[in-house]
Amino acid sequence: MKYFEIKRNIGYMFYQNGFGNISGYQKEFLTYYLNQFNDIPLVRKHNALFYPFSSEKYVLDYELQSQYYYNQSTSFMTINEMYCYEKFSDEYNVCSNEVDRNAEIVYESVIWATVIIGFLFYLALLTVCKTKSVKRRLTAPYALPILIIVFNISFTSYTLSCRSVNYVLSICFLSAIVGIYGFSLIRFSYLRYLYLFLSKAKSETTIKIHKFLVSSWFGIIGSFVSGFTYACIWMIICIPYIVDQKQYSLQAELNIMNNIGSLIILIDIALNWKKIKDKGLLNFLSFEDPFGLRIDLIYFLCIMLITIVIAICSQFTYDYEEVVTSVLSSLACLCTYGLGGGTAIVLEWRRFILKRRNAVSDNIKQESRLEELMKDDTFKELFKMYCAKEFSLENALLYEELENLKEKDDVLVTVETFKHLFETYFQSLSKYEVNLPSPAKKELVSIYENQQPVKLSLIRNIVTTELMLNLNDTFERLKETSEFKKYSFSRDIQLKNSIV
Amino acid sequence: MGNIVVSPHDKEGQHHMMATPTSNNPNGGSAATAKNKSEITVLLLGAGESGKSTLFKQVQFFHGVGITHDQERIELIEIVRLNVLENAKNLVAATQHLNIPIEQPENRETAKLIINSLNTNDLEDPSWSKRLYSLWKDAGIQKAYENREKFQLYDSTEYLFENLDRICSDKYVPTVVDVIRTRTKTIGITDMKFDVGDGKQLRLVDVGGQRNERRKWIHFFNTVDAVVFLTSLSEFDLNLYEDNGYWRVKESLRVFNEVVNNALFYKVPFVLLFNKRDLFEKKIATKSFSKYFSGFNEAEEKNPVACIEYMTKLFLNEITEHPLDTVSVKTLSAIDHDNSKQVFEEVKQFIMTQQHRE
Repeated sequence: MKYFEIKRNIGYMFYQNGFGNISGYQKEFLTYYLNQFNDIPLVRKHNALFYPFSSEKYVLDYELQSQYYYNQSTSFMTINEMYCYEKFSDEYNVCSNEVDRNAEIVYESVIWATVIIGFLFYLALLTVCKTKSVKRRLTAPYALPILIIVFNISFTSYTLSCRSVNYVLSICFLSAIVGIYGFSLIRFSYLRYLYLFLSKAKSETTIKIHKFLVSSWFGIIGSFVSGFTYACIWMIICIPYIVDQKQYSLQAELNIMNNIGSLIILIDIALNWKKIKDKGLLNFLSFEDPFGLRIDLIYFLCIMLITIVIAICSQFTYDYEEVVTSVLSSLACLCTYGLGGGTAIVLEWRRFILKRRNAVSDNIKQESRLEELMKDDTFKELFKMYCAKEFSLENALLYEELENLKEKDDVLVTVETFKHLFETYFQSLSKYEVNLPSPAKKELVSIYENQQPVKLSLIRNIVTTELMLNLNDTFERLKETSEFKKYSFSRDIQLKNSIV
Repeated sequence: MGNIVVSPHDKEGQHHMMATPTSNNPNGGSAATAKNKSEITVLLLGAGESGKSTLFKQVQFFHGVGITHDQERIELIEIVRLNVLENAKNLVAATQHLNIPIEQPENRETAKLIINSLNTNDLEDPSWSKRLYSLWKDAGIQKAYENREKFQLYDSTEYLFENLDRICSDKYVPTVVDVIRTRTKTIGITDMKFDVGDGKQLRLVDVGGQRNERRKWIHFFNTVDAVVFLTSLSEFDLNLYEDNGYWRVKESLRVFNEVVNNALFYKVPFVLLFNKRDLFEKKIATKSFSKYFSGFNEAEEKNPVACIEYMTKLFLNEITEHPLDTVSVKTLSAIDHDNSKQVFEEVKQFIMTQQHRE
């Protein structure tokens, strides 16, 4: 209890070389105090061994201050605000007892743990730096952690004791993180919808501009420029606060950064709501998003929640407040590591392990180009549109329906489902009768007449070869269209940039 | 004549023009053609495997559409080899079905591989050329081939097996003849356009021939200016792909009847093409034609002219509504480049004169 009381009411800290900008009666008090209590243990000298880089400091003990406070009915709150009301201010620890030291140790070790994790992150990054997941995140995995490391180091006791400089640095780093990651995010979204832009592009110049925008050089330089610019903007906004010696809350910065991220993921969820409802959240996060972009954005949400918790906690006084705050903010830093490429590392390691496990079965399963393309929604839509115009939609519809059945766990197709398939696609003169040879049709009729649940693999065995031949006939012609060429151009770029 | 016209936004389509999705829209297209008769739409109709796409490909080739891109070549290699495999599979399956054993043990081994695991990439290995050729020459397979009317087999089987040494090589480059000879089942509807002089364009529409595909033809009936109906002369001993118990000639006649007597086509020039004349002449040398047509004079059955005359009568008898003076009948061998060119030129002239008369 005493520790926090001291923290709240700590009287005054001054430097050996002078009193600074203080008012008349404060000076009066100090003179009185120094005359009265010089060499008395109520004034403590800064522990030079524990803080090798700090200048020597003297700090007034709480009891003495309150004693004077009652006598003179005055307060030192203005000065407190300047130096000692900081959450992370290390000055108050100078006059702390045993409890304070423990808190100090926890505070420091949490920060250093975050820094060490940052370096370990780089080691881990080395193992996967050539994978698609890392490449598609461009500069973020390399730039973000170093910024977080420097940001953390600037808050240890070993570094500058000038809070203002700390603020300037931290705002600078955080803005750079937002700028760099934000640029990667925008570039990624742009690449993902590249086909949409290209399909509307009419002139050669427009296509050239798109080609320039997707080049990796533009990406790398652009991300740094964006980080730098964004940092500058925030400096301009914040420096007046610092000069006025008013406290600027870092949380404002964090909140803005999070709001952007949260907004993006909320829009993303809203746009894909149907998919999530149909196929589940897990599918949305893994299959639909092979490089974990959405997991990145969830980190944004986490960071936002953490800052909200920190903001709420700072409204109350309680034991170990500093410890709780530093642990929470370190968690936010860890989330930023995840944002910068931690997701990519985990995904790639997991993929590596799974690949080794499934190496054998992978070789057996070979997919045709069309089957591979059909996994891409943009292509599927384009293909279906073309099929409709060539009057062969039935094949694409049947393919889709069989694929959907495959995703469900039950390998047995129920009588009702087969009845639906048969009456839609297989029966003569049905709505979407598929062009199948006589033997295949006879087999399907006999299954229909059996009225028994049937294995999906059996239906696929009968139908797939012919269905793929049918689809390929249409696909051969689709390949010659300008629409497909545009699609294929954007897809090649996406593959090169590891977007898909 | 001769310039291929491509859709305006399809700059790269110059060499290998094909239908663009937009050009296929029957609604959009019909409005334009009704007002502006500078575009003549010609439908290629007929039952499955009557040779519509073969003629379509020939027309493309003699209008300068060639195989220009490496990627296209690679895909064509795939299609040709797929045809080889399909034929081999069908033949092997037929030996089991017809209870004709494959005689040589090593050929039986090859047959097993074909059914179970062989894919088109394996055919790059020249050793497959010998193995497949040896299988093809096996007495059992040959016997099955002689009975090919009892199962489904492509017309190009013999051609492909005789050219295996070319096809089964990593240096294989498909020739125009290879492309013409390969069979791909047409799905849906495709078209091409080319200039025919007088500022007019001819739009040739190729369609699928199986029963389910035929239901899609109706989409083009409104916009049509001429119909070319193909029927295969050599199908007199064959059953349908989509319904094995159904005689192909009967199906062709039925389809012809439906199309030619369709009210939408009363005023439209109509060309009946008897295709596969080459195959037909070979076939009647070994098979009895009169066995399939009770009304035909048995003594004349080795005379192709008489047979074709009989077939012509059979088809023309189906015409109940269409004015006969706007119907033209020709024979064709679509795999023969020169013959196709000549016949198509005649067809075009006929359609153009009919248009002028109108």
